[in-house]
Amino acid sequence: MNTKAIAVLAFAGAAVLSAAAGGCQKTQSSTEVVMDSEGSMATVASTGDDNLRAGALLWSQNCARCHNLRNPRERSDRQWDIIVHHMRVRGNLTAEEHRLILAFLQASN
Amino acid sequence: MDNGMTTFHASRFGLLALILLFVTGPVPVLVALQEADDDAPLTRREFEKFLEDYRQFQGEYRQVKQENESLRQELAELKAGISDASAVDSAASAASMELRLDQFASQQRKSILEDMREELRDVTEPLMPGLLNFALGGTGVVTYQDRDGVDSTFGAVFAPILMWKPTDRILVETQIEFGLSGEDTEVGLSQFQVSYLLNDYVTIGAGKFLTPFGNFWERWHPAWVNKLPVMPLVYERGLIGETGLGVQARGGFGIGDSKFNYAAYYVNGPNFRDSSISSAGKLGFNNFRDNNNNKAFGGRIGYLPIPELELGYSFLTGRVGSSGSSSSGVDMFAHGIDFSYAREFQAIKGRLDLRAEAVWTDTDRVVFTGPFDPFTFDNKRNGWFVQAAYRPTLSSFMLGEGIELKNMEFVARYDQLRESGPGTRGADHNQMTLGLDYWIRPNIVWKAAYMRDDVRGDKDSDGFVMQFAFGL
Repeated sequence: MNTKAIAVLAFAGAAVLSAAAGGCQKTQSSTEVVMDSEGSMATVASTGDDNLRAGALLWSQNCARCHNLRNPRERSDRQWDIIVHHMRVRGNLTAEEHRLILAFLQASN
Repeated sequence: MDNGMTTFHASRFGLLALILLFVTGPVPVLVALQEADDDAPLTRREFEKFLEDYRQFQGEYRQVKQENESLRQELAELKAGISDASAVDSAASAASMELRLDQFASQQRKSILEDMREELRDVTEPLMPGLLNFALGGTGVVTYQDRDGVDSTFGAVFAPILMWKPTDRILVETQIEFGLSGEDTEVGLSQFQVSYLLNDYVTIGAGKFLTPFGNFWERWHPAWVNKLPVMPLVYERGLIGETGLGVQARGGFGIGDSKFNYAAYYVNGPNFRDSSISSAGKLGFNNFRDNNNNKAFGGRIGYLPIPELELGYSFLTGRVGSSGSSSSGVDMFAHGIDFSYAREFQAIKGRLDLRAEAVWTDTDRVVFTGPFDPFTFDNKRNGWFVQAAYRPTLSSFMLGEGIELKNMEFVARYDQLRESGPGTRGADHNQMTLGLDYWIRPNIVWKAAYMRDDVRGDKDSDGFVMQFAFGL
């Protein structure tokens, strides 16, 4: 078996295992929020809403891994709906990350 | 008649007694009964009725008394609260009250605006069904470069992305790139993809999409995301193409505290170049009309053990030779690994961003023939880069009026590329790039970089590059 076949089979096996384990989805929440200088967390902190806090955390973790965090006030609810959908596809966000990040951005704009 | 009058008087008196009992309580009423009409005889029935009324009123009296005591207690607590509040510093109390009033007013205003917006939306949406659910993204960039061996020049590219979401599950993305080349303006379809959210774990898509190989093309290549004004050598020199034309499936999911993401795609794939010595053996990725019936298959899987760290493995394989040509049986295989880590640290008062990728490509060996002497070589092209960036996001130091240190980012990248080829074309190419960015906004940046180039067997191309970039 050559290198190509091994790599393809390894990838396919990993994909199958990953898909089989897909039902164990869980939100990541093990690190502290990392903020840019936009100050959006002040809004979240005052709401006391656990989902919004989770959304803010996921927003800072996932989005800031590639680029600076954009101010939630830059976009309307409808625009965030489209853009977070776009980033779910581009950045392979999970469904839960999609929902929570969108809820946070729409509550903070 | 007398007996009837007595009964009448007794009834009137009983009514009065009831009122008095409510007002003053049962005991004084009984005393009043005795004092007012001591001589009037009571029948047993009247007495029993009075006794029954008395017991009923006594119960009600106790209930009222309990309520009264409860109210007295609440009043005492309120008084104590007012007393405590008055002991608080009056300025702080006033500020607190003002803040609460502001919050209340803000909530009210927001609520009213939300209602108005809903009403407005209900009225306007039916009037413009074709104009809704659009958003604009993309990037624009102006670059100046001055490198050894080539004339210095400015360049500009504007590449907006139009996103349309007709339903909750469908997203259409189109990126048009407007660029300048020579004396002409170039317009190209950089991306066009329709994607459908099949379920929580799978999104399928079709069209011309960014290649899910490594991290650079999909996530880091937009000018306002790429921290340097130049691309890594492995991508600049075309080891892996920017886009693929075909279909893909992708998604992400968590397992415990870690997370996986994946992408698998089936595309036209690259084509094999064999028409000239300079390009012999290289791959072209603008294969919009496939040169054979065999499609390329690729994929990437990413693993995030913690949210800040991602490790990925990618591959791409397929037949690249053109049907009916001498190279029709030529296959290629590429694979790579990628790494990214980004986190803010209090100890260094800033954010550290580390990115690295390595790519290996292997194309079948062929004998090239043409208006030149036949030749062959082991067709491998490999490369890697490591990039580190630091931005003192937690610093409050001012470099000058309106110039904050926290908006500066220091970047360094080392690239290496190994290409085999005929004669002297094969190259060992090393590049060190040092960059300094200034972020005007999170999506607007000035970048400056100096590159130290080292190409074995060829002229180096050291140089200076400046770039202004923004993300829409």
